[in-house]
Amino acid sequence: MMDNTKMYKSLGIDLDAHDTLMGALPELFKECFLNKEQDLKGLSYFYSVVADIHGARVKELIEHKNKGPVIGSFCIYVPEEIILAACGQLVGLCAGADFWVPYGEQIVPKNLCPLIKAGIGAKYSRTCPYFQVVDLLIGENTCDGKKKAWEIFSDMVEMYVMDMPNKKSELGLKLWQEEVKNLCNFLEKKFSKSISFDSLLDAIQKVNAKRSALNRLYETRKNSPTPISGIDALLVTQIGFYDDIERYTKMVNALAQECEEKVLSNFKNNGRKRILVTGSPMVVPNWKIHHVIETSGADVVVEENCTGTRYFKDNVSIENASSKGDLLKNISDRYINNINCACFSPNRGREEDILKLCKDYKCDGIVYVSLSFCTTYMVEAERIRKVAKENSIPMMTVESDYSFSDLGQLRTRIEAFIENL
Amino acid sequence: MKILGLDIGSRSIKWILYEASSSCLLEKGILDSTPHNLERIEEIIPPFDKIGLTGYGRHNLNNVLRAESPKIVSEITCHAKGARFIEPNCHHLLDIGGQDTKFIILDASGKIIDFKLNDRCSAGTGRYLENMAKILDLGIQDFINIAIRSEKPSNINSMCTVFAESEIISLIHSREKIEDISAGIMKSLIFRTKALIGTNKIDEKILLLGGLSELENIEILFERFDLKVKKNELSRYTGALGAALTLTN
Ligand code: SF4
Ligand code: SF4
Repeated sequence: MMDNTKMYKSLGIDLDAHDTLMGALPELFKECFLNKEQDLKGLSYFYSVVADIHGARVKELIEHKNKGPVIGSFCIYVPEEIILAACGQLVGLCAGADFWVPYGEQIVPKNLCPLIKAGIGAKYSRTCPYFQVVDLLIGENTCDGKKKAWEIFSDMVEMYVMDMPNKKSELGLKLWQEEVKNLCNFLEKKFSKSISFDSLLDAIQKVNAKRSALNRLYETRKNSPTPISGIDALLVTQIGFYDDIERYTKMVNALAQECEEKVLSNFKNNGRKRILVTGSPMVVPNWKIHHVIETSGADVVVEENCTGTRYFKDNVSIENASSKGDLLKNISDRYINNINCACFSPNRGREEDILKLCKDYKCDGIVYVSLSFCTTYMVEAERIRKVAKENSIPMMTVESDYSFSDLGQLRTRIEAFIENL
Repeated sequence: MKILGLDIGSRSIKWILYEASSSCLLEKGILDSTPHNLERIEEIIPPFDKIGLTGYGRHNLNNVLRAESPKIVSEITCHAKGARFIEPNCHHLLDIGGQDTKFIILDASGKIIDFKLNDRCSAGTGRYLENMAKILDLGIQDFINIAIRSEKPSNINSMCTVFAESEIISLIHSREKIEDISAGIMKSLIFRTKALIGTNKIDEKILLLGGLSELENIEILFERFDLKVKKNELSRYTGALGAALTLTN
């Protein structure tokens, strides 16, 4: 067993800066998670993962390198199935800490979204063991900021970039199918691992099982009151981006079962307003908005974003697939058709998703959260506002980053919104 | 029953004592949000049966006052309630406060349909005006009086308070008239406010709340830059009044 300092040294971590980063986390975690009432035993696993966020899992990943590559990504468009099939481990690189933003701003302009700035800052500052452990980063050409950020990343770490269509047309579909195939070929060659029909099928089943477990958990949130707080559900989903897939699936299922039982046992409505959160992704440890909403008297019952339903809502079909090519096609279809990211235009699917979620989860209001300078989501807010209005669902728009400088304003606005629902 | 509404703003503390049975306002008061005042707040405010808290300090002051079950409500809701009470027919409210600017729209029944807040940046708030007046070495009321005389308001383009300061200083150096600079500052504040109001259609005069509403002739400047506002002598107290009113039904 390696001790952590030795491990960090072997990863080239800047130890002093890393200490500063880790110093801030416990306080934030306590404030957001431990200071509230919570009665689900199944959550202790997820809490322990965060408590040891730069420990046990990093060790596992280092050990994994004997068997296959560790690959990082920034977007749920990067197909986990193919990486698993190539004996790889995919880690969704969280870049949700304000700590990294000033480092990022040394390299890229200030007016980029905090996700990109923190991502670049995390790598540049050498304070994130996950960024240090990856053999390869897979980028995707979604928004302009990221597209250009890959060029900067490529000076610091090996990069592979997938191209993305802007339109979900026939042609767009084809481009993406090609890109998925190319990724498969690239990984096979790069890591000298052949990806067979069986290994791909097995990987698809594993990821499908993870998605189904998350679906099962989110199903329980349709109840009033919701058995699990929004911030806890968010945490669980966030951990799905880097945890060991099989262990994680088991733990989510256990938690879902506990929630199902809780729903059956104590079913007393608490009268709290039910909120849908939508917009840009919220990656670890960005818990700000959920924290403010839920300490202002409402419950977040569902998230239409990439750290919410978009991550897991549909599975890859394995029916009628008889060749590796079929499976690859099914994978590309699942990703391109079912993830309604604002980088697409038009993006009507997202409107439909939001309306359906509002109905299914009996939401009283929508909080639309865009990261500062996340152009696509900020602009798309206007359309969603229109649709929400037509359907008489109150909605508020919030634009914020990872810092806490706007907490007072946020609280005022969010409280007022909830008071008026 | 005597209800106290307390609005702990970033720059000043306002309070209103309200008698619920007669719907009468008994007393009102205002003081700066200095540490000294915040500490002895208990001695300053009148005795009450119930208390409602709003404003930036609403969550913190609660511990100091140790009041039994105080009601804590956001200032947006409170301003709406208070404004409704003093001007029942007004549906658009503009609160230019110490550190933020709020625009609130009410429906016919007084319910909030929409509200907007400036994001973070202090440009466009009362604080911005104060700072800019200081650079010109003017008290805030003198600043308004002088601005009214301008025939050719200067252009101030900066989005940021700090940069706006240097812009103003270079205007001073290039010998622009002080009244034009003052009017230019007002113009930039009002343009920013209009951006906040956005495309909302407004047929009536907007009720101006907050500190600016106590300045004489401020409406003239707003009107000059195409924003029609009106004031009420209780404009400054709508937050406190609303906090008290939330306890009445
Ligand atoms: S918001 Fe779009 S670009 Fe960002 S992670 Fe989600 S799908 Fe990818
Ligand atoms: S949050 Fe928005 S701007 Fe930032 S990377 Fe994602 S899509 Fe791009």
